[in-house]
Amino acid sequence: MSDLSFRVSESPLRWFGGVHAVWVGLNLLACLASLSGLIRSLRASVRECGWTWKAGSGEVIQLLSLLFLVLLPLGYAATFFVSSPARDFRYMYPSTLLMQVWALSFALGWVMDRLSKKQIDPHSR
Amino acid sequence: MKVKRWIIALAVWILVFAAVLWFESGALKKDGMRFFRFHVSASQAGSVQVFFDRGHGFREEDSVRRRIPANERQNIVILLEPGMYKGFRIDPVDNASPYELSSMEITRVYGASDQSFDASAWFSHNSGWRVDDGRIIGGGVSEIADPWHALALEPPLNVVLTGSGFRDSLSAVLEQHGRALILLGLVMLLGPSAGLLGCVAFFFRVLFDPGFYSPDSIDQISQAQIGQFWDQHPVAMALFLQAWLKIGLTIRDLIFVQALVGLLGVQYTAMRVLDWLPNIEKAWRPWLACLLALLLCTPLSPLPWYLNTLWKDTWTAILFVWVGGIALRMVRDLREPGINPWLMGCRWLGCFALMQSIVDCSAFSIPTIGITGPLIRITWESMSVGPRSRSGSG
Repeated sequence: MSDLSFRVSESPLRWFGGVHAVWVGLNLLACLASLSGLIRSLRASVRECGWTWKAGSGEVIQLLSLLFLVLLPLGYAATFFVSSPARDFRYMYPSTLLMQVWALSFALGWVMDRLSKKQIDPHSR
Repeated sequence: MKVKRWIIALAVWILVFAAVLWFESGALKKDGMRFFRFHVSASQAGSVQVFFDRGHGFREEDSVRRRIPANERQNIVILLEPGMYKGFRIDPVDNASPYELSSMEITRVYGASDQSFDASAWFSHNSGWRVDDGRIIGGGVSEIADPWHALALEPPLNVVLTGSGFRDSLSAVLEQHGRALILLGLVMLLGPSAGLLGCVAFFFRVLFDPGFYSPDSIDQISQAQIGQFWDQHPVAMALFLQAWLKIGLTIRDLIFVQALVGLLGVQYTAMRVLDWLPNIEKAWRPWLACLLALLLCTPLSPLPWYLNTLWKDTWTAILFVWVGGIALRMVRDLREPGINPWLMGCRWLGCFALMQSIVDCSAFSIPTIGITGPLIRITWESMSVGPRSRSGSG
């Protein structure tokens, strides 16, 4: 097991689990996607209801919460950009692990979702 | 259907038990293995030769050679084949360079000393030797060649690899893995995919036994054992360790629980992500999430190493994954009809604050625990809000 792990750490496969930057980058993309979705939804809602409390529809609140949520691992990793006692992999691992679980399960789920959709509706393109 | 699931879970559990029994019987057999170990260093590279007197004197065919580099202390470990040993002879160098021999001993399979030999007990020949601080120092005299040191074993050493009986293996399994097997059985009852992850965690327990320990966690364990705490490392974790040890559980059990909670956390969070994709079959979701957890258990990811290391960083990572899953579920609940999204949003923030404070407690010191109490209430309330029987949320 340790031999395999060392081999992985010396091959390009290390980019999968051994480089934080990949997952921080993905996290940043997720934040931007949530932010753009939130702005779009808020615009549509304000156009419909004006600047009232009602503009805070379920969708807007949900996207706002989602934005907070994806900021969570990014903020965790960002604290180590400000200050870090040492260059240890372990410091940023919690945020990397969470992003791995989110991103990989979303990718896997998205593929399965498309496949299932095609089976349900074979005429859809 | 339920009966079928119980029968499958029981069958798998029995298989795991049988595998551990087989593994432990092999480990008990290894218990009889013995090694001859010593340290040697020489100022010139060369080879060291060790002779074993197996009842016929020191013969070339009963000897082992090892190459040694110059000026570097080498730990020589030689497996002793089963049989009788009446003496050892070490020819430390095949040249006239100065050398040093120390720490001559018989060890067991995991390196524990079985019998150590005092340097002065060795009979030395042709070496201009002296004993200094438990070491034999010799060589360096050009006219003296082929030095050697011999030891007569009284009584002779008998190395026997005895096969252990079924009863010995069974008692070893129950003593070392009994609690973990009970816990594994309980996890199997959660569902087949959770059971599979439980088996993976159990496999890692056997593979990495007794687990890994960081200097930080060793310090925390000693704090827990002596009952004095200091805040160089998270005090909350040291207090938890103390409570854990006081109720009679072991650190190995804790590492197994940690691995289980970590893997189930990955599965839970992955399932919460899959909840957002409506076309996936409900029955597939736990298995897809399980597949992801298995992917992270390969050498592609450091997760197996983290899950089997007692470390504050591991706890933080596990908590973080659970926070990510629970919070994602609450964000999805915001769109359910009949729920005030503002109220839900506030409760979600309360949950987030609680989780963050727990993470803080595991990473910093005791004063942060003060804010955890009120926040637990908020989280409890938050988690009990929202429809429970929604399709796709397990």
